[in-house]
Amino acid sequence: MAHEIWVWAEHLNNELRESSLEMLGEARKLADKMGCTVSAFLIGDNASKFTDSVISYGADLVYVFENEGLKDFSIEKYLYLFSSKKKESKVYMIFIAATPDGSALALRLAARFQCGYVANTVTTAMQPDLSIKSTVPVYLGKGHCVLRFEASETLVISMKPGSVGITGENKTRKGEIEICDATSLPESKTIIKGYIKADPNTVSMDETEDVAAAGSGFRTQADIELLKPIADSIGAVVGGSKPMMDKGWIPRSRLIGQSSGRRISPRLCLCTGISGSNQFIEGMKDSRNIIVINKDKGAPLVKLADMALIGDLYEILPEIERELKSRQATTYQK
Amino acid sequence: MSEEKFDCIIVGGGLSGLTAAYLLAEKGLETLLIEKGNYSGAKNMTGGRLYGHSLEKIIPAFAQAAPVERRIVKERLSYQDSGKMTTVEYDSRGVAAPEGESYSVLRGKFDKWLADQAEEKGAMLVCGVRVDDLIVRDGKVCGVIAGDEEMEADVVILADGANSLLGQKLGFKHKISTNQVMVGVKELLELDKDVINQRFGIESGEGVAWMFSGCSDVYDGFLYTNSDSVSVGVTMMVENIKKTDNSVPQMLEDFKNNTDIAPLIEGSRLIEYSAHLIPEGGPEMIPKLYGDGVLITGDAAALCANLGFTIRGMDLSIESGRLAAEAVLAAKEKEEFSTNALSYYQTSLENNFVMSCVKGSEVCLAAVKSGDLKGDPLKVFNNLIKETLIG
Amino acid sequence: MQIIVCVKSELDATGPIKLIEPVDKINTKDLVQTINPADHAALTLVRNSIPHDMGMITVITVSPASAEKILRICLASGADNAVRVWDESLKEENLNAKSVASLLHKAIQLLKADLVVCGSEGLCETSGYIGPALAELLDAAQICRVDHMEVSDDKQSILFHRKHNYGNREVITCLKPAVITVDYDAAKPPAVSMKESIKASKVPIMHLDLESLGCKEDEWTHNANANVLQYMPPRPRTKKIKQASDKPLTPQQKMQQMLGGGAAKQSSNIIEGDSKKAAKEFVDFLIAERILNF
Repeated sequence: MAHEIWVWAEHLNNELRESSLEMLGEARKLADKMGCTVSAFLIGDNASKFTDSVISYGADLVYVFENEGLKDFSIEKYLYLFSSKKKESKVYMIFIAATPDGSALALRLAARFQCGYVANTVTTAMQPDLSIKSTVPVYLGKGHCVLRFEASETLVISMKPGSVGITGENKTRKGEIEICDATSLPESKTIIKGYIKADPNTVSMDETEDVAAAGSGFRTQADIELLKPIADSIGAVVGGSKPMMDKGWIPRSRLIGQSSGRRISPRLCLCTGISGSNQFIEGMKDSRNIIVINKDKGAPLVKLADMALIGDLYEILPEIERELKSRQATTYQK
Repeated sequence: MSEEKFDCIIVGGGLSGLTAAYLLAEKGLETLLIEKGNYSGAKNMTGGRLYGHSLEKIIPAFAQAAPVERRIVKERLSYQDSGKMTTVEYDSRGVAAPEGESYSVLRGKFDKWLADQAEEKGAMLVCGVRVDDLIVRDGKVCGVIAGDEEMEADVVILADGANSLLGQKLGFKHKISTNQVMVGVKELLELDKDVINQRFGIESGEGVAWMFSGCSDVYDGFLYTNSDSVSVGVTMMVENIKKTDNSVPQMLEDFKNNTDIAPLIEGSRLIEYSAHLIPEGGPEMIPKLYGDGVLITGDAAALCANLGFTIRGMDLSIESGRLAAEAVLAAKEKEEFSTNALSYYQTSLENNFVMSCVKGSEVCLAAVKSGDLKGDPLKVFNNLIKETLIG
Repeated sequence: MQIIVCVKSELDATGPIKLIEPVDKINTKDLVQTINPADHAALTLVRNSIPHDMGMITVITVSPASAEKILRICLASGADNAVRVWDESLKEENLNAKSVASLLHKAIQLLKADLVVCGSEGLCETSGYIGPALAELLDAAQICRVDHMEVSDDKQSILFHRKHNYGNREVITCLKPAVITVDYDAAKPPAVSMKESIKASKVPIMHLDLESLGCKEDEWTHNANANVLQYMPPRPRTKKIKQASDKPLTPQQKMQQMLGGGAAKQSSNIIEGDSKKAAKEFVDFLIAERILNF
């Protein structure tokens, strides 16, 4: 029986989560080195619609557990499904992105299987003797700790979304789909009553999905308002660099950079008028999409950007606002 | 009214406060010590060297258990003048007398250890609380106020440091003026134990205390060897800072880059930068030391002696803490904590080396101010020997 | 309601750590002991939500006597009782998260609890294993990263808010017993109170050794899954690029990827000159990435 590397392919709002695509890419890389199979777990009430994507992003085999009772995430049900497969398989590693549900699941799986667990890894590499060497930050990131895990045991690996990036899709990849038995599910011990949506005015910087950051390119505090219409269209939270906080133009809770004590990894980090000190970049470089608006083409942030708009932010921002309005109008006309 | 009353509340968890707490708790008094830092030592700093004699009286052979850094065996005094330096060294390795020993210490560790000793004796220590005011009724201090909490006691010992705000609130102490206080800044530089041994010609456990003058009109320098680090710093009168365009950190940098210092600290790594006030006003600066239900000790009582080539503060603090505890115990026996009862504290201080040291510093201060001290190496040398023998 | 909060004494990682080359052990001698901030927040959140007359909070730690200070801080922060689990035969260096979870489990079985609470992460090295491990051992409901709790009017159930995707909150109830974890920023611990500290110093701390837990040697010892090889100074992490699958990595990028976990980004899309063009490209990008949906 070949060794497997498992990946939990999480989906949200009818889409595969990008963090899961990252996990598939990681798993694929390791599997290729080791001659293992990548087996993805798709769990939900309509899980089967993602099988093609999961395969094209790296899975050899997809375990599909589809059942109305799996509409919501439930630790007990997921544990049951994973455990049912564990009995029959030799699992080398289990990759789960550290989303809110992912972290909860990953830790519990490690407890259930009494196996190794590593989170927020910097690098993970297989050794010639098939053991795994993984480096993790310790002491608030002041040091890195190199850990070794035996080859004979399973290892659960939880990685922060955005930390490794998505490897390309290969639509020509072939894979198997196995529809698994999801009929007799245990009762969930938790009952979901509902959700409270995040308020862009109060949500914290490390939780928000999108961020619009202001820097020294803004001449006055009032000018930062230029970002607001764009931020509102996206639902982004407005934050800023350290000089902005030092001037009192943004509160400490909206600071981006190492001195905030946090690294953020939003889906979008729009950096306006920020050249990008080391300190700032360290605090946001894991962002999935970085867009930079700056006069200076040579600014450090430009090198990091997925897209850089070189020009005067005082011209570009209003222009973006106009473009957004006109697109919205066109949509309503449809 | 509060439900609890202590025999004694001590404000400040530095050396004088901890010493008083230790001794009072040892004798069974309900003692509460309140420190504003998160732990004793968090807010304290020294150059620095502790003369052991005063603590030796209280905890014999303390140096064996306490986290002292190195036992000072070499005293060096240097006078620098335009690239030339004269150094006098006193090597005491042949002598072994615990009462005369001094040790380089790091206050974070040391104070923490002393705090543990005081707690073991039964003193109640609360950290992370700042005492804002005192409870005063009919002119008598009856307790302390921290935030919106009050705690009563028969007597309060103010051990709250050079800038004692409580002492000022009582009217015992005046606001300190810039010519009464020095600032000491230092860098703690990590350096391999063996490298230190090699560079200073000492063995492990042995240390050097080194003072530098003449390097600047504004500051004097110092260097102490710790276990695996060196403390390098400068001291200066606060009022003199405005006489130069240089910032304080810049002056420290200049001292470190000094051709005589730089090779000694080559290859070291900065661990910590710290600064602290040092009362320097001489006997004039000593406030009213006691009142109804209250005593002032340590730096708060300006019991510091700048003797030109060495600054004595820690051992004087410890001794003053001891004398304060004795005064409280004597008052407790009579169940009377009035000004009269506590005057014993002032009397005992005056008959003690503490006061003679502080008075001695008056002479030195005058000499320093007039520039005399720098010009007479022999005078300095003589004083140095005398002082080392007393200490 | 019986609540148990598991707390850990940690070295204050905000203090100075010297790490300039790979070592077997980090030199932590200049660090002071402190309570794990997430555990303190956990205790605070529960106490703020469940007053004394509604629930008794017992804090528990697996630690030698030096950690009693931490328990006193908890008692001064609202805990009603404190328990310390330790045995002469235990050595701090040999205890891994699995064995600590086992020992806590035994103690919780003895003390009985409706709700078990702990911090979601440790300060120094912990990954947050204890909470879910306890849920597994107790066969309890598990809710991670709770930041709000409300007790029902009939005091029989609790409504929790749990951190969910993108700053949203999941509103959730659960069966008893339950294990919840709390992030360090979920609640601000109360300022140190003189009176509470003094009261706390008088509360007797219960001490449980292996015998009182009824532990047999093999029941609680576990081999650690991870072997620590060494500690090193932090390496810079380079971000991986969104790779087009047909473009192979250059040798430099491959090196960077091996060393830092990601190939450095190459500046891809630079638009200069015309603001109108820039605006259009910007909105197109957002739509392509499905950040905007028109």
